Amino acid sequence: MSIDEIPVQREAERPLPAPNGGPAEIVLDNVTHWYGNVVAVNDITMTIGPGVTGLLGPNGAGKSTLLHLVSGFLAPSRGTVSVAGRTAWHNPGIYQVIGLVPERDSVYAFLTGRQFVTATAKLHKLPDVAAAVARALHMVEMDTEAADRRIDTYSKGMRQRIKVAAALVHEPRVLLLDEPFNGMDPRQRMHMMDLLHRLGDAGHTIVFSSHILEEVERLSGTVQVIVAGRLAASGDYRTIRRLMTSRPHVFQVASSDDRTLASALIGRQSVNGVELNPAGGLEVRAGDYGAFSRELAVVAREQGVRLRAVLPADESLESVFAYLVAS
Amino acid sequence: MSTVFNPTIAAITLRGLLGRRRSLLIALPSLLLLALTIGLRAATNINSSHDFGWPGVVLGQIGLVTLLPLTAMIIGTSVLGTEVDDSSILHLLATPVSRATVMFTKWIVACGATLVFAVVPIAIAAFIATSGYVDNPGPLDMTFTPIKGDASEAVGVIVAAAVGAVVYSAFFLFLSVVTKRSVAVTLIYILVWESLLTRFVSGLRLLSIGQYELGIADGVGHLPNLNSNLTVSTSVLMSVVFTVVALGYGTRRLQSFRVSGEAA
Repeated sequence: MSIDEIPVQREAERPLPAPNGGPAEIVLDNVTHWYGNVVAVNDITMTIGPGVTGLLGPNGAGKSTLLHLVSGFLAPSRGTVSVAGRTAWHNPGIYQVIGLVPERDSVYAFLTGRQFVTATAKLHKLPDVAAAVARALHMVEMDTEAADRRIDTYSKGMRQRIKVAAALVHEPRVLLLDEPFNGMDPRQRMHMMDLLHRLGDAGHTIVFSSHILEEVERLSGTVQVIVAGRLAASGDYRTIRRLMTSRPHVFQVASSDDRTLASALIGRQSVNGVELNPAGGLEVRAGDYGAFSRELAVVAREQGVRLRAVLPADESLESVFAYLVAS
Repeated sequence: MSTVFNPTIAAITLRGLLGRRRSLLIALPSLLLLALTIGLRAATNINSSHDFGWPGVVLGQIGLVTLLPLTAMIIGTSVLGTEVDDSSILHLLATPVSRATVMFTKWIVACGATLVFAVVPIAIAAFIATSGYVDNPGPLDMTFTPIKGDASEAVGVIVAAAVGAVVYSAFFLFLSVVTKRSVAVTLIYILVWESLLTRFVSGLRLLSIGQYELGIADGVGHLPNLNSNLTVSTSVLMSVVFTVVALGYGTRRLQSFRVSGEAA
């Protein structure tokens, strides 16, 4: 069963209220951050407005650093970061505007979920703590008996949700989430995506990081691709997706007659190059993933060659992102 | 924008501190002191403990200079250090509460816990150790009645312990903010700096919280064998300076709290 087929009781029909104080923008202007002599974020300029924006990139690309710069937990080594027109660094007042869901799931595990969210509401000095807590727990579907259990009994997905509830309890105009779907089961993911969608649609500025393309694709209209600390690509996810799927792919193919298969493949439009491996098998560079996958089987049948193995050689995310940087 | 003390932070901190099994660990040094004091008192149950001169050594070198900092270390590094280490402090800091309030509240909790877990046992030990006997009862008689103004000796130790709890808590809280290895650094401070170096290098005694305690205990109670080196006025002045600087600089560091990133 794919994620799409999993039935979810959506609340999408019920729109969320617009954020208090109106929409807020995040502006990064030539922001660089380095740890010692390691550059984590390299001269990034971007403006993120209301709606859902995904920060996409491999692990260690600088996504978390970027979120920490925006949330005021890192100072830019160079450049400026502002949220709703105010600097985040050295400014605790900014947390009236920002809600932060850190990646690490270290929370006060000795508290119950409700106590944790209540404590957060009290720290925000909300006028009606009980109502705010009930609303936040409901938003993340934690308004169950689980809310009164200690957090150290929670699954990873439940911990993520209680963190989101705490971050949402003061109805922030900007919500920053670092790898929010880690540990969630497909149904929880769908619900969280739905919630973030609705918040984005209501005018909140939602920024989340992920190293999984499919998560970003499902959730955000706008994608910022971060690779090696740089902004590698930016814009609509469809454009990014197209770039990713149309990049050259390398396959390792083993067959009953490598030379015959190689000569037949080189004549095909979807194939850019073929090389015979000295140890046996072929290395095929394909220009179009989908077309090559279809044609390979046809060619093999036409030539009477039996395919023994077809392995994509460069499917790591790093190679995908490296291609994006190069293009 | 907020008050200096935040009851929500205090409640979370206290639950984190006492809810764990750590409270047993916190109580252990004090229990050892009490056991030692009672044992020595029973063993020297002949006339006054002063005849043996051990109260000054036990209350001073063991109680004030070893037990108190060890207890304060466990508490001081727990109330903030563990949250800094596992980044759960982010949940506190990502709120509009000022960092000065976070620091001050944590310090008050650390002081309170150290008072309960170290100063109260030291106070009990001080009264047991400095009390005399009405007459000459059997070795297991525990009816301690202060005589010959011994109560002032105990009071001196108690005041010193209370001051020590306040200063150590501030200093260890400060270390929790400035280093990720706060437990190791505080142990080095207690075992190497205070217990070893200040013994041989007299100039360093001016930078030793333990020496401030001994100075105050001696100045207030004049308990023999405390081996104090500083005057009471110097001790009080340095205690105030140490506390203010530790809290002030600790708050500044907390205001610049950085999350260690991927490349760190």
